[in-house]
Amino acid sequence: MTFLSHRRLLHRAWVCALMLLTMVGLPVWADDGLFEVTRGSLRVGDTQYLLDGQVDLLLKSEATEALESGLMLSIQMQFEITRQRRFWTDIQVASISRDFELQFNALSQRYLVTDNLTGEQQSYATLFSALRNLGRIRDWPVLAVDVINADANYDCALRAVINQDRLPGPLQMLTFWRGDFSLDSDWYRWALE
Amino acid sequence: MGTRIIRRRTSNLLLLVALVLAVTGLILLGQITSSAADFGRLYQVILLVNTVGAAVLLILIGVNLVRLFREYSANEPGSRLKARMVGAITVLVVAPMAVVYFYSVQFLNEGVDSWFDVQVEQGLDDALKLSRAAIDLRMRDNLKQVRKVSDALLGVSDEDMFSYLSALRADSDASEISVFAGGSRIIATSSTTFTAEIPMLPSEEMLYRLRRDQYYVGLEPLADNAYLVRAGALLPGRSGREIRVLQALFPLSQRMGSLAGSVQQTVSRYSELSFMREPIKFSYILTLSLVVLVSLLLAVSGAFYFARRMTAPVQGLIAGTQAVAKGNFDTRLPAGRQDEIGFLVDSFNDMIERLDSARSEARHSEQQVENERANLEVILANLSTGVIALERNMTLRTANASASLLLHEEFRGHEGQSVLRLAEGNEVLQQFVTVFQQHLEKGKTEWREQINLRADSGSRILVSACTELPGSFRSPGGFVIVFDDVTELLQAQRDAAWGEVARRLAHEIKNPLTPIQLSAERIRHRYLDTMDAESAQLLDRATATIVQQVEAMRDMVNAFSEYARAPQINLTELNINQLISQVADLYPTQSNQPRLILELDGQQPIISIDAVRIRQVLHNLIRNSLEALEETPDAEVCLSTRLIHSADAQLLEIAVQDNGPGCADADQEKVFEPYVTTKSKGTGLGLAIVKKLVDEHGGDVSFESKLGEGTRVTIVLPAAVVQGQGAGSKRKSA
Repeated sequence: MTFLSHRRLLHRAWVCALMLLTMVGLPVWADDGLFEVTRGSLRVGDTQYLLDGQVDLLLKSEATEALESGLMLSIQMQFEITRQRRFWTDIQVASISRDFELQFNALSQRYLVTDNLTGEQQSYATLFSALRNLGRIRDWPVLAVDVINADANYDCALRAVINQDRLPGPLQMLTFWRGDFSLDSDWYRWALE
Repeated sequence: MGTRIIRRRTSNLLLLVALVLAVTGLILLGQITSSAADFGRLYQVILLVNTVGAAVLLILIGVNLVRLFREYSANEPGSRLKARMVGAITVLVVAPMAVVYFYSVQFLNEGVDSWFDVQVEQGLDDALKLSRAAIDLRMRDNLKQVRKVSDALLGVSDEDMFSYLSALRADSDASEISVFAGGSRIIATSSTTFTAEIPMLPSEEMLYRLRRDQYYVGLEPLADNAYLVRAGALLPGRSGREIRVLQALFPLSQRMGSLAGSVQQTVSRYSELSFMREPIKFSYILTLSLVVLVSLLLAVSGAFYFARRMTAPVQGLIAGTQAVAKGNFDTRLPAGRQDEIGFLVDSFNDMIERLDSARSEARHSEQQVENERANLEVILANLSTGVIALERNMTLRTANASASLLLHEEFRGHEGQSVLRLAEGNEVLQQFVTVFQQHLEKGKTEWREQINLRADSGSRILVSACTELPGSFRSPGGFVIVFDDVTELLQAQRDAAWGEVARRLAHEIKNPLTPIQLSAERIRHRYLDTMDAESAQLLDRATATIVQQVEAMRDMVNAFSEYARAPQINLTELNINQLISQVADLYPTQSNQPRLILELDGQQPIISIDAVRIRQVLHNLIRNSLEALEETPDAEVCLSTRLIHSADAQLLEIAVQDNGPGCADADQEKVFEPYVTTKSKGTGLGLAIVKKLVDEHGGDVSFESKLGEGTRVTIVLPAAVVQGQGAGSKRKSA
C-alpha cells in the first residue's frame, strides 16, 4: 500500500475542499478568447434567404490546448429572425443553427473543419486560417422567402458559440464550474430590409 | 399538541422531499457522468436538484440541531438520549464515510493517473513519427515527380497542355494533375477518373507557399481515414502573363492510409484522454464529493429522524412516569407499535391501569376505614364506657373522653406518651395502671376485673376488661382496656335491695306491733289493779317497756317505710337560703347546745327542689351533727351554700359541717347505706334517706370525715335558676 506524503495529502485535502467550495461558488470565467460577429446580412436567393456573415473567432488557450490534444470542438452559428409586432412582444419567425466541427489531425498537423450542414471538410495548416475560413459564412440558406411578409418588420440576429453539448461529459462539468470552454459572441442584430 | 404534530409531519415531509431529491439527483448525476449525451441539458437541473436537496437537508439539520440544543438546555426528558443517539449515529456514519471518501479520492487520482504511461505515450509518439516519416518519403517522392512534370511542361503551350498532362500523369502515381492560371482558372487537368468533376482547386495556403518556395507538398486528411498528398509547383511564367500553378494529387494507398489513420486516431484518442485526465478527475471527485455530502446530510438527517423515532416513546414513557409520580393516573401512552418499545408502552399502560385501579380501591378502602374510624371515634367519644388503647410498651395509643373522666386524666394530646408517666401525680390513674401492670407481669393479656379506685371525692368501682389488639409482624398489637363505672349501678342495686328489705320489714313487722302494744296495755289495765304493789310495779314497768319498745319499733318501721317509699317529688322554685334559715330556726340555741352557723351564698340562689324533701335532708344532717356533737365542747354546726359556676352548668353546693369527733375512713365508704351508723342509737337510715332524696333531685352527696376533726356532708344540686341579689357571702349564727 502506498502512503502519500503529508504534503501531498495536504494538497489533496485542499483540492477536495476547493472542489466542495466551487460547488456552491460562482463559476469563474476565463478572460481570453473572443467570438465576435462583425458582419451579417441576408439576401434573397432563388427560394430562400441566404445569410452572409463574418465572425471573428479566437479560442481560449484551454480550448486551443484541448484541440491540439485531439479534442473535437463544435462551433455553432446561431441565427434568429423575429417579427416586430405593434402593441405586443416580438415573435420569433425562425431559429436555425449550423455546426462546424474543428479538429486537429496529428499526422498531417492540419486543422480540419467539417461543415455539418453540407458535410464538406476542409483542412488548414494553421488554426488561424481554419478559424478565419470557419468564420466566413457564405450562402447559408436560413429562411424560405415566402415566410417573410413584405409589410412586416423583421429583426435578424447572428451569433457564434462553442457548442458545449458536443464536449465530453467531464469537460462539460469542468466548463460548468470553470468556464474553460465556454465562449459565445454577443448577438449581432440587424433589421431585415 | 397539534402544533407539535404539524411540525413533526412537516419535518418528515421535508425529509422525504430531500431524500427523493437527493437520491434522484445522485442517480441522474451518476448516469450523466458516464454519458455525455444530455449532460449540458440535464447537468444544471440535476445540480439544482442536488443543491435543493442538500439545502433542504441542511435546513432540516439546522432546525433539528437548534431544537435539540433547546431541549438539552431545558433538560427535557429524553434529550440527552437523543443527543447521544444523534452523535453516535453521526460519528458512525461520518467516520467510515470520511475514510471511504479520502481513499476514494486517492484511488481516483491514482487510478486515473495509472491509465497513462510515459512509455505508451512515447511509443505512440514514435509510431506517429514513424508514420509521418514514411509518408514524408512518399511526399518527397511525389514532389520529385511534380518537379519532373513541371520541367516537362516548360515551353508547352496551353493548347498542348492537356495531352502532355495526361502522358505525364500516366507516368506518375498522381491521381490528378491540373494546371491553374491565377490560382483558380483551370488550364488543363488530367485525372484517373473519367468524370466531369471540377478538379480540386489549389488552396490559399498552397498558393501562398508556392509564391514563397516555388514548390509545395502537403498531406491532407480526407474522410474515412483517407489521406491525400497535394503537391504543387509554380510553373515558370512568361512576362506579362498570370502565374501558372501545377497541382498533382497523390492519394495514399488504402493500406497505408488505413494504418496511418489508425495511428493518428490512436494517438489522438490517447492525447485526448491525457488531456481529459484532470477534467475526469475533477468530474469524478466532484460527483463523489456531492454523493458523499448528500449522503452525509441524509445520514445526519436520518440520525435525527431515527433518534426522534426511537426517543419519542422513551420521552413519552419518561413524561408518563413523571406524571404518574405526581399522581396523575390518567396518563396513557399512544400504543400501536409492534416492536419492543410498543411492548414497553403496552406494559406501561397496563401497569398504570392497574395502579389506578389499585389506588382507587385503596382510596375506597381508606375512605371506608376513615369512615369507620370516624364512626368509631364518635361512638367512643359518646360512650360512657372508658376505652384506652395502649402499645406494648405502655404508651398511650388512644383514649376516649369517658376514660379521661373516669380516670381523672386528660388523655387528649398525650398520645404516644407513657401512661406510667401520665400516672405520676394522678392517684386514680396510678391505681388503674398498677392493676394493669400486675396482670401484665403475670403474663395475662386478657383479663376482666372489678377495680376499686379510691379518690378524694370517694371511691369508684370500675369493671374493667383488657384484651390484646391484633398486630402484624412489623407492628405488634397493643392492648385495649375497656372499663365502666359501676359505682352508681352497684349503689342503685344496693339501694333497691335495701328498699325491698325495708318494705318487707315495714310490712312484716308493723302489722303485729299494734296488737302487741294493745295487748300490753290491756294486760296492764286488767291486771295492774289486781296485783300487789311489787308485782304491779313489775307489770307496770314491763308493759311500759313493751309499749315503749313497740313505739320505738314503730318509729323504726316508719323510718324504713319512708326509705322504701316510692319517690314522689314535687319540685318548686324557691330560695335555698331562706329554706335553710327556716330549718335552722327550728333549732333554738342553748348554752349547752352546739351553735348553728349559717354561711350562705350572697347570690340568693333559687333552685327547683321539693322543699319538704330537702327540709327532711337538712333535718337529718343537722340532727346527725347535733347527735355527734353531744359530748363535744364548743361544738358548732356550719350550714353553707355556694354557687359553683362550671363550664356547662350551674351547681349549688350545700354543706353541713361539724367539728365533732369524726369517724374512721373504713366507715366512710358505707355511710350512705342503710343500717350503717356510728352512733349508739338511731336507725342507720338517716344518711341513706339523705342520699336517696338527693339522688331523687338529680344531685350528689359526699361524706368526708376525719377522726378528731369533724365531719362534712356536701350536697351538690343542679341550680337551674340563679337570681343574683348581691355578691359575697352572708355569715349568720342561728
